[in-house]
Parts: sequence; structure tokens; C-alpha cells
Amino acid sequence: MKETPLSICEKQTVIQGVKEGQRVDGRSLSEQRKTCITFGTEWGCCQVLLGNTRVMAQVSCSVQVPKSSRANEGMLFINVEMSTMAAEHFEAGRLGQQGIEVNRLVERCIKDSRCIDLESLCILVEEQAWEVRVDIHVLNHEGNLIDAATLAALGALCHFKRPDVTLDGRDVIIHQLDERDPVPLTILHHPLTLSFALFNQGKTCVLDPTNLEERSADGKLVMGLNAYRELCTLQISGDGVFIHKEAVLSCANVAASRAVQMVEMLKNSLADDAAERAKGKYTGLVNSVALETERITTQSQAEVYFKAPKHKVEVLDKEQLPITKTKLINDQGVVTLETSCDVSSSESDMEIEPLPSVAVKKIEPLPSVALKKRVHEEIDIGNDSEEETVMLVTSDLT
Amino acid sequence: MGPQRKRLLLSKNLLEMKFMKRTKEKTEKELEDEERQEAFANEITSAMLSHGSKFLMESSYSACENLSFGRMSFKGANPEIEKIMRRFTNPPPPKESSLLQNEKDADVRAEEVAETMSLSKTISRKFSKQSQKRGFKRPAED
Amino acid sequence: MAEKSFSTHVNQIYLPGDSVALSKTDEISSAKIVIGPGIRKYGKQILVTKPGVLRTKASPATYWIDCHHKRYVPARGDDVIGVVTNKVGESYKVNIGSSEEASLSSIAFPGATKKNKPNIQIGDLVFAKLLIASIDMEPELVCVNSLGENVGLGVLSTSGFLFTVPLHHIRKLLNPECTLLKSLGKALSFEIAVGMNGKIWIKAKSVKQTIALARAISISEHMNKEEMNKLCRKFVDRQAGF
Repeated sequence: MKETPLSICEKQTVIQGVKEGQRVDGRSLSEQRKTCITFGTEWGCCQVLLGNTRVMAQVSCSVQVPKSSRANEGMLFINVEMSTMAAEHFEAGRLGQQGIEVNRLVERCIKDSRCIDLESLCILVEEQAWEVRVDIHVLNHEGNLIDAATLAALGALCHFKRPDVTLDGRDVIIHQLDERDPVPLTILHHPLTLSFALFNQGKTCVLDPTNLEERSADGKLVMGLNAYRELCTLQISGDGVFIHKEAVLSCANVAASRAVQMVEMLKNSLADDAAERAKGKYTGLVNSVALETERITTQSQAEVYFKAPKHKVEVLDKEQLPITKTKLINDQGVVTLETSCDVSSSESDMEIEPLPSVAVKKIEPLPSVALKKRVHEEIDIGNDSEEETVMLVTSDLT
Repeated sequence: MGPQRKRLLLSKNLLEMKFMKRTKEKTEKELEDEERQEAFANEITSAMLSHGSKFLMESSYSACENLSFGRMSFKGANPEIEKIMRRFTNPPPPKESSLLQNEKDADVRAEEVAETMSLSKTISRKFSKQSQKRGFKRPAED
Repeated sequence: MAEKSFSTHVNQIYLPGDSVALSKTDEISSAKIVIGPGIRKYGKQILVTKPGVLRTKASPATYWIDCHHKRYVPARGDDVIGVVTNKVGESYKVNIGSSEEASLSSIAFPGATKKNKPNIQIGDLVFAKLLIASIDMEPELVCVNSLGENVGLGVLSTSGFLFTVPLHHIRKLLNPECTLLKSLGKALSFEIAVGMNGKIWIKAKSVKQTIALARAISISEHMNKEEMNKLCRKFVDRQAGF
């Protein structure tokens, strides 16, 4: 099924709103939607709610022969599934352009930044190693799938525990979960992505865009960062999109401070989950469903959305943020800022003119006049005596 | 207009006559309107209710829940829509009365036309003359 | 599943496959019974096809299931908002959120003739009535009533804003008992078109007001009457504060 096309008025309102510093859902330009991380009863099951975008990730593992090129390392495999349940234009089993983009960016953020210590997943060099597989399921698509998918994948990896293994000579013994406590994965740092939609020739960047904003925007800027303010992924997409060097830097600053908060939040949710499990009463994902209904219905939420709109226009450049330079690690899979800034120098100040509204033609309703005329006409022909008698009959009937 | 109240129609031959052209057009238009109304109206017409099985399928929620019309305007945002809204809330009087309304506005009233153009007076005069001649005797009594 | 007695079954939750018992009076009377969405007659039984709450209405006796919907299935007589996606000969293709695009003839507008057609661009919004909605056929839209008059249907201005809410929320807003739109209308000057396909088009004096109204309408989804009134009061206060 085709995706519902974007109408002119939706696009215009979003663009006009962003120009005035107002977003369609009442957020400010650098405000994220409400994020919620929940874990399932299984190890390595994590669900992330980003506004109404809902993504679930499940980690599983199996013992495989390691690759000959990296004989002392385990493997990490990331797979994204997008079903029709999430959005009507998704096709089950086929990722499409958007799906491939999500899959690739999650891979770049998590796999290429080497946040998982793969060497610890090796059981026997050149013979046996763990393959960790992350299956990401998009459950509802309301924009910014990339951020939700990376957060879900990272949450699932942090939550996951693999069975313990001991070696008896060259015999590998894999212990059942009830036999020995399972072992968590070694996670070196927590990278996540933060996406910005680019408006106004790349002068205005909007954090955590909704589906509507993503579609109305000129382009998108995705940044992968960890809690140490280290940039590990950067991507700009969109047709002929311009972005200023300053805008990239200010986005990086916003993203870095948000990343610190998000990692904190993830750690807190993990700690909460661990505490509940220790108490022996974990309800899994059931909680998240109840949580959502509460989120929609309560009056307090309405108050959040109804804070008085601010008069001053918030532009990212003017934002008062701690100016700590983002560190660029030139390690594996890191994009340097220079290459992406080359396209940015254009300073064209073209204003997007609102399209002329369609003139609705005025229709003169004249039924009463016409009726009156008809009455007169019938009177006119009354000279004929025969017609007159017939007329009397018809008026009786009607 | 249920089928239980059958309408009287003029004969086809009569309508074919030249002087009846206007009346013919009018009746044809009425019939057409009725047909169109049946084709367009989403509400369950009485004709639908009176024949067929005991159950009727209705796929629209708006008919079931008596939902109001979705186009609205407030505080003069779109005067045209507000006019239509008013028409929806207090619908105009039915067609017959609007015809009468037109008649009231007419310069010459239908009764006056009937009075002046009618042959009834001349004919009655004729009859009265005749009856005078015959000494107030009715022709039937001859 | 065992049939429930009438007094208990109205406003109860039904699941697909449950059978509905008619009320005593409906069963005896010779009057027609209307079966609305979510219910089907199967042989002698009346079965439920959607999960939801059973609702009834008298004169004509109507039974239907009130359920939560996100995706729209066209129903004849519904007023919907669609996006014009293409022009094919004498008609437009309009996306109304259903599985198939609907067609809208360019002469199905008030006052339109073969020579005098409305000026519609691709990407424009139209508010139209579904004339044909059948599972096997392309849906067809019209923007006039049966007499060819202007009844508020037609092209919507591009300066408004379109947003989507679940279908049951639309039914709640259009219910004659719901006062949300009317009370918001007392506070602000705006025009609105509410389509049964879950789309709401709204236009106020400024973008800020339009967005605020759109937010107020979409967060009222699970609110009851009192909460809605409270929301309206709050909204009026905010607007007065400007």
C-alpha cells in the first residue's frame, strides 16, 4: 500500500512553524519527545518508545565458527524488520530504502564504533565463538526510527546475558541458565544516535523529528555519540541540502549533552529492571502498555503540552549551551567533520514563498428567483382556455 | 414519500401534447430529482425499510451514531461555511411551503389570476341566462 | 459463546465471533433492524466481526460495534478528507487513507460544468462525500449534494493544517453531544473540516493558533466530558493571556 502523500498545507505549516520556532506537537526546536525504555522478561529484550514511535529489539546468541580473518573474535549481527503494522507503506520481508538506511546506521553506530568487546565472545580461537544477533522490530512508525532503533539495540545488548561457558581441556561446556548465572556482554561505551531535521537551507535544525517533520524537511543530520561526548557516526542525507559549519557544531553540542542524559536514563532503567528482578516481580512489557495509556489520558500531560508558547524564536546558533568541543575520535569507522562540511558554504537566502491559496469560486444560489419566474410563465400561457383547465388539474395533483 | 401513498400522474398522451410542454418538463424534473435523491442519500430511506429482509446492512458510522457534519466555522472564520451550518441546524421549510412563499411575493396572486382569467363567471352567466329563459328550471329536469 | 440477555449486553465488550441477541421488542416487531459496522448477519445468527463495545439506537433499531480503529475502510456516505495525488482525464485521484485511491470527477463540484472546472493542484486537500464505497470497486467521491448544491464540501485552503487522529476520536468529536469544538469556537475564530477517515483540517488566524488548536483536539482523545471542559477553560485562559 502506498504511503499517504504529503499535502501542501501540512508541509507549509511545518516549515512556517519551524521558522517561528514552533513545532507541530508543541515542543521547542531542541526538545526530544518523551522517551521510555522498558525491558521484557527475557534477557536482551528491550522496547523503546519515542513519542509514539515504538521499536523493540531482541538479542539472541549462538555458537559459530569465527571468521578466519578475525579468528579470536565473536560476531555481532544486526537485523532490522519493518512490518506493515508499523506503517502502511512498509512491506514485510522487504526493507526498502528507509529500512536499509536504518539498518546501516544502527550498524555503523553500534558495530563500527566497537562498543561491544568482541574478543570476550571468543570461546576457542579459530574454532568456536559466540555470534550475537540483534533483531530490531519496528512496531509503530511516527518518525525518527534511527534514534529509536539504536537506543533499543543498545538497551537490548546491555540487558542481554549469554550462557556461561567453561573449558575442559578442549571440550567446551555450555551451562544452562539454571546451572550457572548467565554472563552479560562486555560493553565498552554506550553510543546512540540523535537525529536532526534540517529546515530553512540548513540554518534551522530540529531535534527528534516526527514523521511529518522528516517528510517536510530539506534533509536530515544523524549524529552518533556516546556519553563521553565522542562522535562515532555522522551522516547528512537529503537532496541538495546545505548545512553550515556552525550549525553542525551546535547540533553536535546539543546532541552530546542529550546523549549524556540518554545514557544516564538507559542505565537507570537497567538498574530499575535489575532491582525488580532481584525482588522477583518483573512484569516484562505489560508495564509499557499500561504506561502508554496513562501517558495519553492524564491531565498532567495536557499541561505539559499547554505551556504558553514562547515569543522569542529559538535558533540553534543562539542556544546557550556549554561550549565544550566535541572530540573527534579518528578511530575505526569515524567520520571527520571536514568532509561533511564542504557542501555547507552556500549562503543563499532564498525565502520559501507560501503558495497562493486556491480561490474558491463563489456560487450564487438563485433557486428562489428561478422558481418565481416559472410561476409567471405559467400564468402567461393562461390565455388559452384549454390549457387553463389542465392547469387547474395539475395544481390539484401536486 | 412511501409507496403506500401513490402519486397521481398525468397520462403520457396528455403530456405529449404541445401545450403541455412545460408541465411535462416539470414532471420529468421531479422524477429525476427523486431518482437522484435515492442514488445519493446516505440515510436509510423509507422505501428501503419497507421491503426486503428484516435486516439492513449499514457500513457507515455516521448514519448509526447520528454524527454531525464535519465542516464547521466559528466566529466568522468562513462566512460561507457558517451560512451552511445554520442551514443544517435549522433546515429551511419544505419545498411546498417555499412555493407558497413565492406566491406571496408575486405581483399578481394566483387567486387573482384565476378570478380574472377564469371562464367560470361567463359560463355561469350563460347558464343563468338560460335558466332565466326557461323560468328557473334546471336543464336536467326536462 | 453463550448469548447474553439483552439487558446486560448493551455497552458490553464483544469479540469477533460472539453472537448478539436482539432486544425482545425488536425481535417481535416487524420494523426493520439496521446492522451497523462490526456486525454481520450469518444465517440466522447475528455475529460480531470487530472487537469492541456494542451500541444500540432506537428508530430505526440499530446495532453496531464501537471499536478502536487507526486505518480507514471506506463506507458509503462518509465525509472524508483526501489528498489529490494525480489527475487522470476528467477526474482526480484522491488518497483518503484507504487501500485504494478514490476518484473524484472534476464536474462533481458545486457550479462546475464541463467548461468551468475547479482549479485543483496535486497536493491540495479536498473534503468530499463517498458516493461509492464497495470492496470490489474504486471508491468514488463527490463534492455536491444530490441537488448539485454547495453543502460545504470542496477544496480546502492550503493555509490550514492537516493532522491525523484515530477514527474513534473523530466519531467522538462529531457526536452531537460533544461540545469540544463548539467551546473552542467560542474562544477562537477558526474553521475546521473533520473527515471520517481520521483526518482533521484546521485553519485559524495564525500558525501558532492553528497548532495550539490541533494539539488541543488530538490530546482530548481519551478525555471525558469534564476533562474536555477543563481543557477548554485552560485553552481559553491561555489564549486570553496572549
